[in-house]
Amino acid sequence: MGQLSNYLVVSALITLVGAFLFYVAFTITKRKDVGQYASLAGYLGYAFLTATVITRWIADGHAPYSNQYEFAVAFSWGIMTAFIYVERQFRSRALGAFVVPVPVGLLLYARSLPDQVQPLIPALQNNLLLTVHVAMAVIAYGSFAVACGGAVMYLIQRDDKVRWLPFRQDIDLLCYRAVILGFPCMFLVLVLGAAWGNIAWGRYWGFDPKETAALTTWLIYAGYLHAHSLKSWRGTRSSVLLLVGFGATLFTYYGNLFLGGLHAYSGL
Amino acid sequence: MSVPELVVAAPRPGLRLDPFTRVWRLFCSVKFALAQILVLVLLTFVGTAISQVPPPMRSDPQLVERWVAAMHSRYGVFTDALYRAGVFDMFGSAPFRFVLGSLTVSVLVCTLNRAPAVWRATNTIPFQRRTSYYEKAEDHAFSGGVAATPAEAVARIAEAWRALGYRVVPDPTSSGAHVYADRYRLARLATFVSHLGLILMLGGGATTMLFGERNDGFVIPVGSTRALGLGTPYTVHLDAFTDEYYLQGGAKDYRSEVVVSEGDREIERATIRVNEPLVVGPVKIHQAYFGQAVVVEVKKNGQTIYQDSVPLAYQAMQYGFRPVGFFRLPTEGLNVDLVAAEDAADPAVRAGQVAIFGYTPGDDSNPVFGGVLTQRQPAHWKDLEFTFVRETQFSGFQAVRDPGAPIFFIAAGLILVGVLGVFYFPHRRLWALAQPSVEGGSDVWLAGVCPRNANFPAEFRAAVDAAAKALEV
Repeated sequence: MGQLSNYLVVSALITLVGAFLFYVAFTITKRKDVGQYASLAGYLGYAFLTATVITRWIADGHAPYSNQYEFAVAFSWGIMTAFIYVERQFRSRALGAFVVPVPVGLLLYARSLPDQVQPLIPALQNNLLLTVHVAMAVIAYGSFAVACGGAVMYLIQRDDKVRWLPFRQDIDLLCYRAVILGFPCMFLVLVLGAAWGNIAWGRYWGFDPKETAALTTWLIYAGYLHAHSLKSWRGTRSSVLLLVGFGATLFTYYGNLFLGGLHAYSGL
Repeated sequence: MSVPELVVAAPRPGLRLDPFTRVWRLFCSVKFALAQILVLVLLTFVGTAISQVPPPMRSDPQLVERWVAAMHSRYGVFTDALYRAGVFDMFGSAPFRFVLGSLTVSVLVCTLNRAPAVWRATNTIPFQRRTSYYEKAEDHAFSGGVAATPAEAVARIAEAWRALGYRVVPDPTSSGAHVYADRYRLARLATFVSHLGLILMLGGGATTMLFGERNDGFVIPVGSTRALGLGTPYTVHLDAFTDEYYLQGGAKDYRSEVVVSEGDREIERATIRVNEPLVVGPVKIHQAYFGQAVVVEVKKNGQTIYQDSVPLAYQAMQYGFRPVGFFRLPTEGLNVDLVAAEDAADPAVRAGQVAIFGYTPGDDSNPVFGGVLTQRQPAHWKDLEFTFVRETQFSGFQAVRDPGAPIFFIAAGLILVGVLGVFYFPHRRLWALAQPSVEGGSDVWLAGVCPRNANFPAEFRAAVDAAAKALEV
């Protein structure tokens, strides 16, 4: 089952590269059939990713979030989940050209990591919290990646003169929707992490580097939501905040590789 | 050429504000809150990226000094400057606490400031009787020449919207020609719930800091009993400790079999694992670490005066990185340190041995005796006989009493409810206005408002369709 999961990752990677090329072609040509191929390839890649996560779950015997390889795959799945949700809501296929490269990059990164199925160490042996805590992180990070893609679109779309991109107002709303999907999930990441810390280590907060980085990320998006309520901050400034926020998200994701602390076990 | 007359502008009201109002307005400002959040983010980022003094060391200046000295290899000439600036203890530093405190005040002031307006908005019915409002609304619709009279038309629309789950409020002054409808009006209060949750969360943290207690070094050798402490009358006996490993070598399970007693009365037998703490009254006992212990016997003139397991759970500067344990012989005026080998290649202490050093209380630097104990071979100092009986294990626990934790999690629940209320159940408002048409029947205007809700145009369309069906147009 683990081997099948690895084949599925490669299938997802190839399909998403195809989806990315179709999305770029659609963004430039605006041809409806190309857009349909792009969405089809995106959905197929998403289906492969879903199958990867399920088969890996069966192979592991627990939610597949216990090392950097598994989380990179899950992170890609989260981005595609959020992307498909937002794409369907806003019918904005151009977004795919800016978002799909992120899961492609993550899957390439995953392919460079050891992919053996490994049993859980004692600290991670809490099936419920492992599943929910990390699943929330996957959705939150995925939503923030989509918002980041939208922010890049917004910054390119100057004065609504770039014809191959949606209008700024629509992009702004799209980013906002992506953030309000990820924001409560990120809060749940923090709270469920606190609950887990309280069970395993007897403290719900210890300023561990990873949890502090997650708090920083949440605070940046809290700042974005407040900024978005101000006319003077809506638009370019809040888009820059989204780029900073996704930088913090990646810092939180990779943090345990070089920051140490109580989350260091979940490295490579 | 005429010169325009100079008009002296009236002073801006803002310039004459008293200091309290200025401070109040500052704390109400979203821009100021945003600035504080960004400063907090910056400080938190620095605290995350730069190594922090481990919490158990912070209360001991000597250990902190030693830790900072070790940081020279990482931060070089900047080490001392970073230390003096408090960067190595960022989350306990004055700037971090100041900004966190200031942001808390902002949240509180902003919440109090907005409360009356939000409460009014929740309870006031904003009737819209002018057609210009409908024409300018972001979501609006118009239908001319509806067969029904204005009052009939509005009554039918009201019924249709009620069926969609809206609260419908007729306008008593419009003779039935105007109606207001809304959903989730109480969700406007959700912002208070989340902001009060934030303040309560900090209150939970403060309660933990002020009234919580923890012992991260609660160590029990196998077969021994130790007082739990933390204001409880309980003792904990460690029956057994097991560490299991997978075939690949990774850790599989750490578990301690313990018996909790109050005096001679047994309270509970339990197994403590990493994710399965034991709750004893107000205290939780968490499995944290384990290590080597030695069983030692001390005799004086043939009489046993001490026999217990000594956990080698500590380190001391004078012994380098070797595991150290200690016990006291108060009747002899002696503190005794036991030191194990750092690794198999340690030249000073070999496998099956422990080094032993005796000190007079209050003088930890000049041992009165020292040597190496080999298992089951007694060694003598004056009239005392020391025997290293056998090796065993100890289990290390974190014993915690934390009255702030429940407050923290209640606050987290409030924040979540507030956030979901604000973003997923925003206040949706609809209006309908009917006026007699010049062609007979009625002209009907509809409008809807729900800021920043991408789904609302579809909801408004559904409301318009329901109205159209009711009006048979």
